[in-house]
Amino acid sequence: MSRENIPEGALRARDKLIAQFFNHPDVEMIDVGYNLNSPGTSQIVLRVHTRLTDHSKLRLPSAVDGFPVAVITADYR
Amino acid sequence: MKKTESISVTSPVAFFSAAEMREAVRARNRAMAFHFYDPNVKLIDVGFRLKDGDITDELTVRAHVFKKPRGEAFESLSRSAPQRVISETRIGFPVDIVESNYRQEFTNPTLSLSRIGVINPLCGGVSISNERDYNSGTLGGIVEDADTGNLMILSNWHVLVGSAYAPKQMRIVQPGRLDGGSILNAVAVLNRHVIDQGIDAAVADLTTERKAINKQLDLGPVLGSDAPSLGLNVTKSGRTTSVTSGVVTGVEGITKIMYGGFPIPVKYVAHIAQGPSGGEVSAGGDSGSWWVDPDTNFAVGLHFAGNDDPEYALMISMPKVLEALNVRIVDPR
Repeated sequence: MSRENIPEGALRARDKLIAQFFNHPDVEMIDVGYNLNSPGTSQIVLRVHTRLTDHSKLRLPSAVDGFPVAVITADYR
Repeated sequence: MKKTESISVTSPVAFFSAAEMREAVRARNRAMAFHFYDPNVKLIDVGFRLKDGDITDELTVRAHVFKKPRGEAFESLSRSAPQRVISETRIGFPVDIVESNYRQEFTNPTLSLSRIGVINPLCGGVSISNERDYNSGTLGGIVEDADTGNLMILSNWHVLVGSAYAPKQMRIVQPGRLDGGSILNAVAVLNRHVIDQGIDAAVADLTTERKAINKQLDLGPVLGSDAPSLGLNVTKSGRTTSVTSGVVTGVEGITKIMYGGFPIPVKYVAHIAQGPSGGEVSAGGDSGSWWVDPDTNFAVGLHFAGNDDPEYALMISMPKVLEALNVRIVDPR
């Protein structure tokens, strides 16, 4: 993949997601990046990192301000 | 309870009733009262009798000792110090004496001495810790105070400080305590940190006569710093996994990491995944490593956390780290 800049508006959308979901006990991280669920693509999405394997429990929106929301399963230490 | 047949390690474990276990534990407590402070005794537990290398299904109180007296040595002990003999009669339960020498495993035998030994000159990628915590992280690199020009070590807050109650000017040791370091190996004293700004980073003033150079072990000098960007290939030199690489897949992240039982928010986070060649990205002990752009040798991030399976690493944008700490990377010349 080549280096890319963040699309305009992505950080604002990320902040909205942070305001709503960052304090959820099962949310580990929220960032902007590639959709790892679609490897090989360069689609830039909002990403919520969680240790939960059943992502439906988070009840995340599918998109914020037009930026798709993807979920990454991880337990950072 | 007593049977004569032995069971192999792979066979199902024998079952003991709750009453049997309670009786065994009470007997263990008696054994501890009599023998735990005997210098020859390392461990007292409840378990299967070990006979000729086989695990039997007899429940016993087991005393694990450095040296099991046998023959004349046992006879001599019985005469000279009968109170030290661990017997079924005294404990009121079957007893097994297991000879063993348990040691804390400070070092991983697969780790290179070039990273976990006493390193001179000091450089990025080697083992380090504060003087209190039994762990080891990575000396990220050498920086200088932007105001005074004093040389400093830069690594994570959770490596150099680790606690809200850490004393001021706590000593930093190289190698880290997990790798056998002690205050005799002190190389720096804690100066400041910025965890309250959401950045897991700290610096310590060098106090050692050992030289310190701008070099990442097995990678070379760092020539500057830059913000991480999506798609950037990165590499790092760390205490545990040595030189590894990955690709930046996320930026502008905010996360919360559990330190000492409390969730601490960390900002300016970039996410790294395995590159096309795969392989390990990071592991415990790599905390504090500097992620570097291999094309420019610019430091782009300070490693602080990771995930196994899948392999991910997290770093904090290096320009943000340097700005918050008011330090700059040392000129390699």
